[in-house]
Formats: sequence, structure tokens, C-alpha cells
Amino acid sequence: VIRFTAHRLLDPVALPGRALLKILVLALLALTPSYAEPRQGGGENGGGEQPAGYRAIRIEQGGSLTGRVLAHDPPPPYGDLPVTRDGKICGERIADERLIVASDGGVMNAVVSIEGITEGKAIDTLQRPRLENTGCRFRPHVQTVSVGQKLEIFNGDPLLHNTHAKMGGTTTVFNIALPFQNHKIPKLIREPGTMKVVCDAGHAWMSAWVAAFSHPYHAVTKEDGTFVIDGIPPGSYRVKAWHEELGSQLLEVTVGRAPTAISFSDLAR
Amino acid sequence: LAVIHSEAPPVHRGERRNFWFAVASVLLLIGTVWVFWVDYNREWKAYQREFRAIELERAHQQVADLDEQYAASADMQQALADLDAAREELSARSEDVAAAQEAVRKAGEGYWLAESEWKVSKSYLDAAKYELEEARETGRGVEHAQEYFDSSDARFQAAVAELEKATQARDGASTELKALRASVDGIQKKILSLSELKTRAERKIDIIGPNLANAIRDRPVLDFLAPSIRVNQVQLPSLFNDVNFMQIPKVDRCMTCHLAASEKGYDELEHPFRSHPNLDLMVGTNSPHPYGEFGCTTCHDGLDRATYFVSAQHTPADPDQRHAWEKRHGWQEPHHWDSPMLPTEHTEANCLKCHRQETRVGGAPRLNRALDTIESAGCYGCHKITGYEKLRKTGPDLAHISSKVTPDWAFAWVSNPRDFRPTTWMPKFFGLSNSSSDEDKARNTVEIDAILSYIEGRSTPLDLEAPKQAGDPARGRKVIEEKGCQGCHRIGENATERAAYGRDFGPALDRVGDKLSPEWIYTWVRNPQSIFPATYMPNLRLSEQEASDATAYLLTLKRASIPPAPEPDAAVLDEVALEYLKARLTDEEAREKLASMGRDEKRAWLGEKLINRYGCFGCHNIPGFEEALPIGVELTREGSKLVTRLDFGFVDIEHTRQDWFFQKLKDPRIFDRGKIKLPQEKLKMPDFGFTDEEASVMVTLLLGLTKTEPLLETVKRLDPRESAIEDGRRIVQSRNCRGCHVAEGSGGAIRETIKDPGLYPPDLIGEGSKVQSDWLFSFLKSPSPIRPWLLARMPTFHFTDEEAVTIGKYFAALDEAHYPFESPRPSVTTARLEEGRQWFTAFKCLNCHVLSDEIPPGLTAADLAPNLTLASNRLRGDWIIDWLTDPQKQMPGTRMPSFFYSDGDPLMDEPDAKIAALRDYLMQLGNGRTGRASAGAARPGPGGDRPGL
Repeated sequence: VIRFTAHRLLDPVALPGRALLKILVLALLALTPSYAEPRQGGGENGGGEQPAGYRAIRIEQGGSLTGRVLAHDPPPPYGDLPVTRDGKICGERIADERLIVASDGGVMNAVVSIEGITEGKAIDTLQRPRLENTGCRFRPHVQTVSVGQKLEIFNGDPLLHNTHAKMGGTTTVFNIALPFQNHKIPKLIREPGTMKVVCDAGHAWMSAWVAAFSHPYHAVTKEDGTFVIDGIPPGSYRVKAWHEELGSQLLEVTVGRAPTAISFSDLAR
Repeated sequence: LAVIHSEAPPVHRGERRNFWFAVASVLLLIGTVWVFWVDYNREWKAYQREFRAIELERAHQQVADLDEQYAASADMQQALADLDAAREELSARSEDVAAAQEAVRKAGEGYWLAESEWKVSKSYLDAAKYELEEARETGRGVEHAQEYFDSSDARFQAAVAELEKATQARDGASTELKALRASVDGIQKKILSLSELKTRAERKIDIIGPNLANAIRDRPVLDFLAPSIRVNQVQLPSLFNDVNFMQIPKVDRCMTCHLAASEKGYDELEHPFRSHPNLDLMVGTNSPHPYGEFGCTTCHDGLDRATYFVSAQHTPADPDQRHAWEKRHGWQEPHHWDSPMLPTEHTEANCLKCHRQETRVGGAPRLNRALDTIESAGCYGCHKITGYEKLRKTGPDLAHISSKVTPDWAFAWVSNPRDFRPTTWMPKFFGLSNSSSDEDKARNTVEIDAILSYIEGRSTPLDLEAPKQAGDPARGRKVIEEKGCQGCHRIGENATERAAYGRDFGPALDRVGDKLSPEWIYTWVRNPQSIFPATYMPNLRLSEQEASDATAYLLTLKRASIPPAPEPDAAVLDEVALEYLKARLTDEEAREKLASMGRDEKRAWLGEKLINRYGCFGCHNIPGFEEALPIGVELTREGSKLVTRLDFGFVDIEHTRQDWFFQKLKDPRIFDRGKIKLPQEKLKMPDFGFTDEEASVMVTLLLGLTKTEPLLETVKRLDPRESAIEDGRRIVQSRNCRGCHVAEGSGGAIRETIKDPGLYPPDLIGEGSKVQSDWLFSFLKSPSPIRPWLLARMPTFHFTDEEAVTIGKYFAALDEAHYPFESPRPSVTTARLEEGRQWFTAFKCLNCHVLSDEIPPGLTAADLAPNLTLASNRLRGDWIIDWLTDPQKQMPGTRMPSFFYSDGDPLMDEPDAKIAALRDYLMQLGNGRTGRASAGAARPGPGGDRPGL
């Protein structure tokens, strides 16, 4: 009942501008255990099942991987991207997020993941990663999701945007129109793979990456190039770092109960 | 007796006779044992025993794997644990179970008794009924009969009631027992279904494994009864072996050794135990060519009834294999069967047995390539091939050649066409392996000169137009690169490999500047049909300025100047002319005639004779040869020609059809080597410069042109839909539509020359269900822009009405759409249109679509989508529904996003109603019915308006 009420109340079409009520409901939701706790499966509002080929097991004292992705000799940063349409809403120029390197070489927006892991902690299929079209850019520019989760696609602009995700640059996975402001569409992630996301509605500068995995062991590096992956069953793994401009690198890592630190510094195409 | 005894010949005397009898018996015994031994050890039996061992091992392995899998499977372990628990629970209630079982038994007895009584009483009742009827009829003893009937009826009614009670009691008891056992039975059933694969593998082990029955059945001597090792054969009453003068139905025994050919999952094994590599198309039960109907030798050839490796007429793929087979199987060249097995690479040849009506045969890429090659190389110009009678001559019309090229160019071209353009299909006639000696060279010059002098002499001038404006090569280059020329032509790519269609359809334009005059190019690009009415080059509707620029650019495409043609030697000319004169005249008359002719007269006269000899008219229209007949051997049944009828001359190659064909295609004159021949007796097939690959696919095709004619029921017959597709395909192919468009999943060759995918010519997926028949017809007849921002232009092909209709039917048939009529759309209310207009505005359709042919300011072509005012006269209403429902399904990868559904899930309330309203709105947009078609009316209001969502 609470979830149903929340759904109606949070839907800006049904009752726009009831901020107070929204906050109240959100607070209620946070306190509602059935909503806050991840659960297997899930109903209409939840995500999907654990993906085929992945088994959720109980992890006690799992290991963790921490580290950084570094660029020794990064190419010069890109300039801003020109806005060719809808300047009133989008602004004149938009920062190019394809390559962001900190002064000490830390690479932001790299995807770090464990390759081929088939059992471990459960995927939280109720968690909803979000891909926003706001200010004529995708936010976040790079994110990772797990198969079985629903990606919430959101339009914050009073414009038509579309979110066109292509696997391998050519095969369309989905292409969804968002004609309204505050329009939001949940999209179940069914297959693993790295998708490039573009907007075909005349906003050629917009781009994002969504990397989907059939396990929960993945992360995107922060501004300083750091990442954390935890709850890993102890063992030996191949860990991959990937960045859209710099390329990728594989490392063999043995994870024990203590935190394991690694760093990627030789990304190559 | 004594007399007979003493008179008897020595062999009848006791000890001698016994001796010979013993010898004969021993020999007979040895012979018998030997016969059984040979029979027991026949080659195919060894293969079957080997395969059985493999099968057994695989089955055991499968059982082991499955056990492991079950051990790891949570479902299975859970089920087993549940079963234990359920059994335990049941055993705890064993008294109840025993009581229930006893109840069932008792109820069963009761039921049996009740049923017996019911049967007996029923028969008494029937008898009483008869007696009563009889008594009433005769009028005697009615009362007594009535009494008897009543009592019988009472007994029967009581029995019925008793039986009902007993039935209830029986069902109740067994339900009770079932309920007790329900959990155990349910789990057991589940386990059975989970372990079905294992059950099957175990059953297989039982059947083929070492057991007493098999041991006895397959013993020598006993194995004539019902052996498990036996010849597997399939009878094919509608497919025949042609054994000269007779057609014999096939009986294929290949599967006697190729035991897993029809099974999946044997790809790793060695021959003969491998799976057929293409079970979806061949052999497989669900394939279009199941083994039971088509056998093996229908496609592979070889001797169908054979059960030995050698007698089956296997053909080695290469000399290595040949040596290996000679060692292992005692293989030898087949002499006793006219169609030994085809080498694997040529197996596609036999598709032609049944698929001759089709333009292209699915799943036979080599054959299709050869079919393309026949059309490009124009083989049917000289060789009659059934099915090719109606095709256009493959080369250009030579009736106006003098207006097109200079005599010098023509000489250089005929001398060696591939020298000028490496990718041409025009073959080389002179300077080949039988015409390259020093004397031949002078003769070649004379012959080429004579041929050209005839053609040029008969050429009539054309009225060519000079470019109207000064052309700019830079602009001209843009015209050529953008307007779509590159869908059929390559420019500056130095192409060396040739193909039939796509961007190799038209000649590479690398050296047109060395060949053509500005006037000719200008007239040609403006209107190709004015020069050559039968040309496949369409009209791109270039403006005068565009044509002038294009001409200027094409003239810059030069590489080297053309050398002047050499002067023919007068003496050699006389000699050759005399040779041909003597064919009809006596020596004296011929010399007189020669002396009476002037030089040009001799050249033209000889030219005519030589054109007759070489058959130039097979590919070109040449005035004076309109009625001439093809000069080559008919190829319709070439694949059945006996090897002994092929002249291998002194060339040392394998004596097989495929080797002879290959050699002939690679060097058409080679079989003259070492032979003493007069010039006119020499072989004359020209050299097409076939690569090994091209020659090899042509061999495949030639091997398929056989005289074998299967019964009509096996031949692929086209239903009306397939015929419509076939007819359309022929046009789509012959006009090279795929140079620009993707049709039936392939094509779009021009895309490699276009950087911006937004500028690709449209994909024709689903065209039949998409556009209205009328619209397509008029568009094909007279194209007008739909996507005005595209740079490439749909050219005018000058299709006849019939061709345009054929294309329309083709697209409709591909999509199983109605052709040509559709039900009219019901008229819609103004309120409905208003609803559609609201959604049209709310969904911001005009963010990408346009309502006129202009590109809105600030946008580029790539941002745009089609002009929606054309929809009402162009699109089918149902297609708009399908399109809006799932654009990705209609055109994978399209930039049109999904508004209403994603993966079948609705993205908003009542999507279908909105889609239908939009369809109704679009179907009136632009046709002026409501006057709402103006751009202003449909422009979106201020951002974010969302009526009633």
C-alpha cells in the first residue's frame, strides 16, 4: 500500500508540486524495511532475477579490492563540446567528459570489474541505477549496472531526448523516447556488455556509457581514479579496467580476507 | 554286384573315393568358413562395430557427466532430499498406508462383484425385454412375460445402485491412498523429468551395449537372421541415376558407414562418423532436405548402392588425400560409374538438379557466385544454356562505336582489355597460349584491324550534345561522389578483383578520360538511354550544370595516353584473306577475287568472317549480325558429358570433368598444346582472366548442368508468392538495386563511400508492408524525393509498367502484404483528429520530422527524419501502427526511438489508443482533408506540455 501510494504521489503528472508530501513519503519509505532491504526476485516495481550463470551465495568475511586507475602519459584534455541545437536550454557549450585525468594521473570514469566470476554476493536487483538526461548531457557519463537491475532513464529537460543504447557500437539494445520533462522510464538490463548511449534527437554531443555485468563485482573510478569492490569470495581472479579513450588492461589478482590493493597504469587500446 | 564292382572306374572304388570325398569335404569346409569369415569382416561391418564402441563410450560418458551435473544441481539435490524426507514421513504412517491399501483391495473386490451382478442382471433384463415384446406381438402369455420383465428390471435397478455405490467406494479408497502417497509420487515424477536425459542414455546402453541378445544376433553364421549390424538404406523412388538410356531409382546406402551423418553433436569425430556439417539445410529430419526423401548421392553423386569405400566412388580432394586413400583403401580412379562423387567444394553443383528456376539458391554461395559470373561474363552469348535465352547481350551496343571511342583506343582495348581496365569482363582473344608465336603476332594485328574496320565501317554517327556550361572538375567530383554513382562504379580504387554486382556492377571509371570525349560523356550522363536504349545505367536526372561538372571531372581521370594502332602487314592480310576466301572458292577463283579487292574492302570483308569465327556478336550488338547464332558448345548438359568425350590433348592433368573444366577456364586454348593445327582449326574460346576462385566456382556450376531430371515432385516448385519474389529478385538483381539499398538483408554497397549514416540510401526492410502499392508504382516510374536531405538520388530506371508492377508484387510478397488493394480507412471524426494532433504535438514529432522539403535552419541533414506530409499517400496505415509500436523491429538500429513500448512493456497508459490516434492524424496530414496540415498547426507548444498523461 505504501509503495503504491508512493508511486502515485511521486508521479509528477498525477500531482505535481507537492514537495512536502514527497519528502514525507520518502522518509517513510526509508523507514519501511520491506522497501529498504534488498530482496531476491521482486515484483512489478522491483528488478529481475539473478542472471543465468550467476549464483548468489552467502559471503562471510569476503575480501575487497581497492586501487586506482592511472594514466602516465595522458593525451591532452579535450575542450568543450559545441552545442548546435536548443542552446536556450542546453547552454552554449558542454564539458567533454570523455577523458578526465587528475593532476597526479588518476583517471576518472574507468570501469573496473572482475572477469567471469560466477558466484558471490547477491545482485541487489531492487537497486535502481539512474541515467539522467539533464542539461543536455547524460549523468553520469559512465556507470556500471548488473543484469537484472532496472536502469531508470530520466529526462530533466523540457525537451525531447532519446536514449539510444548500442552494444558494440552498432547493435541497438534499446532506443527510448523521453518526450516530457521529468519523464522517467525503468529499463530492465537483460544482457551483459558495454553499451554506448547517444541521443539522436539532434543532440549529437551527448554520449554516455553503461557497462552491464552478470555479477555485482564492478565499479567506476572516482575523480581521483580510485575504486572499491567488496564482498568478494577469496580466490584468484582476472580484473579488468576499461576506459573509453585509454583502452583496457587485465590483471591477475588473488583476493584474500584482507583488503587487496591493485593499480592499473598500462591501459592500452 | 560283383560285376558292377569290378567294372566300376577307379574313382568309385572305396579307398580312392573316400580320399577324394575327404579332400572335397575339407575344401568345402574351408570354403564355407572363408565365406562366413569374409562376410563377417566386410568393410562396413567394421565401421559399424567401431561406431558402436564409440556410441557406447559416449553414452557411458554422458551418464557420468549427468551424474556429476545432478550432483551439482541444486534442483536435483533438493528433489532427492525431499524424496527422502517424504518417504520417511510416509514410513512413519505405515499403518495408515497398510490400512488404505487393504481398503483399496476390499473396495476392488466389492466393485468386481457389483459389476458382475450388473452384467448378469442386464442380460436377464434384455432377455425379458425380448420375451415381453414377443408375447405382445403374438398375444400369448403376456402376463407371465410382463411379470418376468418386472422382476428382472427390479433386479437390474438394484444392481445399478449397487454398482454406483461400489464405484464410489473404490474411487474413495484409491483417492485416500493416493493422497497418502501424493508427496512421494510427485517428487518421483519430478526426479524422472529432471533425469530424463540420463534415462535415455541408459536405455541406449541397454540397446547397443554388450548383452546376450546382441552377442547372439551378431555372431558369424547366425547374423543372417536379425543382426543389429546391418546395411542402412533408403529408397528414393522419385530420384534417379542416369545410366544411359535408362533412369534407375536411387537406393542410398551411404548411412551404412556414415552412421552419424544425420545426428547432431558428432562434429569432432573423424570420417565416416561425423555429423553432416549443415544439418539445418541438409539431411536433418527437420531440414528442407531430409535424408529419407533426398538421400546422399542426390547431392554428392557416387554409386548409391555401394557399401565399399572404393565402389562408392569417393573422390579425393587433393593429391595428398589421393595417396592416403590409395594406401588405406586401395583407392583407384573410377572407371565404371559416370558420376563419381563430387569433390566437396563442388557439391553445390547438384542444387541445380531441382533449383534451376531460382535466380539464386539459398545456402549455395559458390553456385550463386557462378550464376552471377555467367551473367557478367556473358557465357550465354556463345554457349546456349537453357534459362538464359532471354537475357540482354552483356556487352555494350557497337552500332555507334565510332562516336564513342577512337580506332587507336579500340585496337588497344581488343588487344588486351584487362590492360586498360583490370576488372573488365571483356575477354582477351589474341596473344593467348595458342596464338603467341612471332607469326601469330603479325596475324593477330591483321585480325584485330580487320574486325575493327568492319565494326567501324558499319557504325552510324550519334547526335551528341556538347556540355552546355563550363564544367568545374572539383564540383564534378562532388556530383559523382554524392549523387549515387558509386553505388555501381568504383573510381580511383585501383580495383583488381571483380564482382558481378554492388559497386562492381558498372565499369570502374579509373581511366574514362583516356577513352571518351566530353560530348559523349555529357550526353551519356544526362541520358544514357538516348545512346544505348537497353543499357542498365539509370538516369540520375542531372541538371545541365551538374552534367557539365561531372564531365569535366571524369575527363581528368586519365593515366596514360593510348598508343597508336599498328599498321597491319599487307602480305599477312592477303594471306589470311586468301585462307578465308578459299573456304568457298577454288584456289584460282580465290586469288582472282583477292586481287580484285582494295585494301579496305579486304579488311572489312575479312573482319566480317572473323567476327563470325570469334562470335563477337554474342555479347555486342553489331550491325549485320542481328540474326547470327551462338558459336559455342551448348552447356545445358555439360556436367553429364562423359570424361572420355573431353579432349585432354597432351595436357597432363587428372582425367576428371572438374579438372578439365578448370583447365579450360584458366587457359581456354591449352588443349591445342603439342597439336598440329591450321589457324582456323585452333581453339577460339577467349581468355576471361578467371582467378582460381572464379574458375573453381564456374566448375561447380558446370558440374551441375546435368541431364538428370528428378521427378516433378522433388523439383522445387514455386508457389505464387515465391514466383512473385523470384520475378522481383531478377529485376532487383539485374538493376543492381543492392548497390544502394539493403534488400532481403544484403546490399547497401554504396554505404562504404558515405561517412554519415544519416545519408545512407534507405534500407528496404519491410517495404511491402510499409508503402502503398500505388505510391510505389508511381515512385518507381518517376522517383521524387522523400528524404530531401539525402545527397544520393533515386535514379529513373525507365522501368516498364510490367517491371514496376513486378517490383511492387515482389516487396508485397516478401512481407506477405496485400497487393495491390487495401481496404479504405474508415473516416475519422474531428475529435479523433484533434486527439491525434494533441499527441503529435505532445510527443514532439517535429523535433526530428519535417512537414516540407526544406531543412529547418540550424539543423543538419543527419538530424532529420522523413517529411510527414507524404505519409498519407505513401504509407500503409497498419505499418504506421507497427512502426510506432516497435521501430527497432521494423528497422533494426533506427534512430526513431520507442515512445510507446519497450521490449513489449508499455511505457505509458493506453499506448495503443495513442498510436491509433496518431496514425489517424498522420493519414490525413498533408492531403488537405482537414486543413490542419500546416506546420504552424502542429508545432509543439511551449516545452513540457503533456495533455492528460
